[in-house]
Amino acid sequence: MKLRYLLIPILILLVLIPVGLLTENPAWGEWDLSYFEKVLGFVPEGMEKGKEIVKPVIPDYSLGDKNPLISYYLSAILGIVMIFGIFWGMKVFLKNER
Amino acid sequence: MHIPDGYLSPITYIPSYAVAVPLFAYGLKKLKQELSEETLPFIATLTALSFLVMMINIPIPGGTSGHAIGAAAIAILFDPWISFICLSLVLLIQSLIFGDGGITAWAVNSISMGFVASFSAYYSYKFLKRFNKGIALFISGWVSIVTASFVIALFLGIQPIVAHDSEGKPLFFPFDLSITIPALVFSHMVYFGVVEGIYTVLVVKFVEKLKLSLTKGVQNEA
Repeated sequence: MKLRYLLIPILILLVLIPVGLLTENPAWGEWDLSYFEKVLGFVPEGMEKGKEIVKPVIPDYSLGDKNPLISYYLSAILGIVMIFGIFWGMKVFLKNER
Repeated sequence: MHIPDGYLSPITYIPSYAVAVPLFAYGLKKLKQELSEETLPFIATLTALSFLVMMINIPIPGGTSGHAIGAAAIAILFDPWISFICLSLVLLIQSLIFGDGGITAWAVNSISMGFVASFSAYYSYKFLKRFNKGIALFISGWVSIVTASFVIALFLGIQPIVAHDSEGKPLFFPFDLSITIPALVFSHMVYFGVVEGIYTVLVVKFVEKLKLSLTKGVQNEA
């Protein structure tokens, strides 16, 4: 089945994702709260209170003491599996509904 | 471009949910109509690609970084409503599992990187494809992420205006529009827009070729 060719772009991006680990630079605006302390002299009240309302399972794609590259790959694979799982689940659900 | 929790005031994120929920409902309806044995592998793959491309952070001068988002390709290949839902799903997973983008900001992130990016790409492409398809794809990708960054800049930049204490001290994101718009929109025009443009060209051309060869295969067998 030619659909397996869809794996090609996924594999290409999987090869490229370590590039994402090369930089320590955060995205603009997505700084640690210490940055605001440094620049403003204070941390806005709502930012201090509002961070992490929900505790993420794998914060920053990092599994604690595991090698960052392995963590990043495991995170990528988990994300892919979840996405395919959700779409597949939707399809099964729709089939039953019809 | 993923706004974290604590950056937006409730006066911003509560109405943003009120706007986003009906959009989600309509988008899901569209996705239900479109999701079939044939389209599912494509839609799921494109969504996974969007998740992966957002992991590829590219550093730029000035000490920050960014990435493409992959919305334009889905909007052009399928439908902007479907692209909106796919991107919102990616953003939800990123927020809940990886802490990338806040859950209070999910609606705003989805509106900008999902809705605005998808529809701006779709209509740019619709208008430009008559001239040159490759260039139209590139520009549509570029437009999608630049408009998304503009919307994010708007939401962040109004925070010190809408939410401050009696002394004028900001309670949430502290920098106003005069800082957020140049910083976010300029970096997306110069760097990440180009990445998104190239990504859109490559992904759309690849998927179209594959789809064509699949339908040809069906015809040959018949």
